[in-house]
Amino acid sequence: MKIQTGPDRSDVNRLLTALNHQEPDRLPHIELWVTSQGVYEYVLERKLDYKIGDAAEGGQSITPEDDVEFAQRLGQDAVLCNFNWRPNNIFEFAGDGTRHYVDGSIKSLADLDKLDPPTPLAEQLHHLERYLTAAQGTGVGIIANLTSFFDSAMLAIGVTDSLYMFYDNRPLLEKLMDILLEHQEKVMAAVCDQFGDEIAFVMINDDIGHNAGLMVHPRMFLEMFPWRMKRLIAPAKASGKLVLMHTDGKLDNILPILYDVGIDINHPVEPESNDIFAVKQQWAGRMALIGNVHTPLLAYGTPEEIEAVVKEYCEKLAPGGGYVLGSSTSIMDGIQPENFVAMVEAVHKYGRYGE
Amino acid sequence: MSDKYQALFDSILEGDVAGTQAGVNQALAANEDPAEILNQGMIAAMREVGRLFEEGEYYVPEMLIAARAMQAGLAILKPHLVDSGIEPSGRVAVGTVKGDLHDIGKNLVAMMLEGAGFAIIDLGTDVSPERFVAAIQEEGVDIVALSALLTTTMPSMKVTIEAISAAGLRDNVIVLVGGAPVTQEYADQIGADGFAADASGAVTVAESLMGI
Repeated sequence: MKIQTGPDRSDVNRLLTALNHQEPDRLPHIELWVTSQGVYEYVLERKLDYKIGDAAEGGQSITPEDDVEFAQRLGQDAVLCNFNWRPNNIFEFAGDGTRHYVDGSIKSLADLDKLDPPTPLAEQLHHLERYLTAAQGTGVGIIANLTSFFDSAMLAIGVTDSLYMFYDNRPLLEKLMDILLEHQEKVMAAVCDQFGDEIAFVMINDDIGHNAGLMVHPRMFLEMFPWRMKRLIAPAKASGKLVLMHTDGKLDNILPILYDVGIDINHPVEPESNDIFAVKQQWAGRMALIGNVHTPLLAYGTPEEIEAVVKEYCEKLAPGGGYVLGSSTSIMDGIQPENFVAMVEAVHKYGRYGE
Repeated sequence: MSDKYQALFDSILEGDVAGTQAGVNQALAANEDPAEILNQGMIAAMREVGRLFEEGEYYVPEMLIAARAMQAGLAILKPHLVDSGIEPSGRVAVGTVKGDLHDIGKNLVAMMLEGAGFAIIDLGTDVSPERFVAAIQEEGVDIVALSALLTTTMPSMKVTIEAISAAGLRDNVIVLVGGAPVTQEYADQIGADGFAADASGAVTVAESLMGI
């Protein structure tokens, strides 16, 4: 794709207008994570001389310069700069060579002395500076994306073991959450203090739900989550920044909690467990939504099928703002670049307000 | 449920391993019928766990610790069930499909099915279609339950079902599918017999398809 010009060029104000529940010139679209080398290279029309991986799982992100160009070519209005600390995750390779998270290595209080260290803050902030420099004059906004304390603690322990630990060893779980929180809180403060005027908004990446709802009983969750999340996002709220939170899962009993905490935007509204049209109607004006285009459709559908779904989303979800189109998880290997581009082009075709 | 199994029932519901073991031991010491202990005390408790999960009273941690208590009690009871010639409700081969190493959903389904009286053959993760076929041939299973967490591994479910058909075994087994990106529509597309969105639902679907 060529760099978009004219009405489809990247414009962070388009995105912010929609996220503030108003109608911009056209429905924005955004992918928060792209982990497919093929999709990047297809859109950039060149081979990358480095290998892309999932940054949240320890892989190599695209460079800031390439990422901004990727957004410009798509007419995407912002990209993520990741501030990840996901310590002590254990990965294994499946027989087909793909890499998967399988467990965590924190099993006792003594193991907390063996936490993988975070990337030094100065190095992370330098990365953000690179993003901001690359984005200057392009219209592409930069979103500061931080991992959090809830799912990072569960992943560091191992998801199954951590689920038992809510009953068997909650002190360990909460101690680890506090360690993660205290570090990411400092990162958030530094980002907002030093770059608050330059970033578009902030994002928290924390899976607290699954297909049936919250991961743990609301009684327990409310004791552990809201006060910590309020602390984590306090610098962003003080800077007047919108806060986006990514969490998988059925949102019925999740969105009220996030709203009370101060979250403004939710991603990705998984279609397996949510009716996006009902959620949009229920939360109009209060919680903006991003995502919901089912990744199996992107992976296995035809461009025509994808275009039809995007057209429906443009007609039903765009009015009034508060919705940004995107996939239901991420753009991973297995999604044909042509299908991904078909989704983007359909937004450009059908998503214009006032037509 | 008879009052004599109330303590055992409550222990499982509360995830109390020691209480469950004590409840089973006491019932055996009182010469209660192992099948009755299983059905009236333990399976009844796991049905209640499933009901509470579906009603939003229980969440995954409560389900896990209840299933752990159930398994601890079952470990004591099993030899007595074998001696009494008690047969399971059915035999289920569970596995995460080829290319996928995620096991939480698969393990939860296995635990809840075991809690409902099914015998479980856990094939693990990254299970090839050939391994599923071999399990059907060698283990005499009634149900094959396929799990996938990733969009990119969903096609392995279709390939597995095709392999079962190619081996001439499709009419011999019920195929269940589930996992985060899987939907009823996808289950229908690939020719699965049943789909469940969660572990509790898997029990309901399995029992329905088995005519239990």
